[in-house]
Amino acid sequence: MALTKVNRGGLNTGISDSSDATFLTVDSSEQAVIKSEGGAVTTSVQKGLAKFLVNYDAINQTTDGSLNQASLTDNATGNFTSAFTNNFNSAANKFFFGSVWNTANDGGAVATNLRLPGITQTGDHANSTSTLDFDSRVGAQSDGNAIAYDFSGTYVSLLGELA
Amino acid sequence: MATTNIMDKDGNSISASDATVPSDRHFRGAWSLSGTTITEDLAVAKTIFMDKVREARGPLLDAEDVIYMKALEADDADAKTASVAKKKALRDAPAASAISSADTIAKLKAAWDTSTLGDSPYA
Repeated sequence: MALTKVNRGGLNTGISDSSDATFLTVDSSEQAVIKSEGGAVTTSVQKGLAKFLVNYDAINQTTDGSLNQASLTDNATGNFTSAFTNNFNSAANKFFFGSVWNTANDGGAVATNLRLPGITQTGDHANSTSTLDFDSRVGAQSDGNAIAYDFSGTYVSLLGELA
Repeated sequence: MATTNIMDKDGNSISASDATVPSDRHFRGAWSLSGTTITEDLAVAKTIFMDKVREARGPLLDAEDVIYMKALEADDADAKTASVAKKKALRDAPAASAISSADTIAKLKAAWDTSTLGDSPYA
């Protein structure tokens, strides 16, 4: 049986029952709030969690790791679309982070002459609650600037709020 | 694990686990799906190849402009002639007959003129 609720008696917190310390609060709507490191304020646990992760190997066309991704479509060189398993509650209220593994042969060599390889959210696609389009590009190399490029590791994460 | 799909140049899609794909992605924009096999459309691949040639020759032409100017300043006729020939070769590179006559992807990759354009990205 899946464990869905835990009461205080089920937690090994290290805090005695007589202590007045509160390190984690879950309100009636099941939103968790945790004390800041300095203890002066509280911060939302949910808002600080990644809601979407993907590690896509464009060279071998494999998704090597993911969270909340139902599918990924390899559209073209350096252009991909991820569909979420669980939608966001806002198309715009998301925070995009991306990077790459700077190789095109699984770590055999640094991709040739690359400068500032990077991932961007695709500029000519509207924000969506259910999908994310992203591009992998090189900043400059000997035979072109800002050209689409495939890497062995294409890393994207999103923060935001799920529906 | 989430499904990974591959879309070809015409918008046809297939699960990556079901597809037979080309050995590399040099001509990714030329990928064409038929059944469960993805092949490279040679005509589209040639367009991609010629674009790559144009990208590669850009900085080489810029460098050759400097060489020509130095030859001009030195009034070095031989150096000017050599530079003019080099620039002509660079300008003509996308129209090389080896590209238009290539009837396989392997021959197309081999059509990269290393003596004019430097190291081949397809090597």
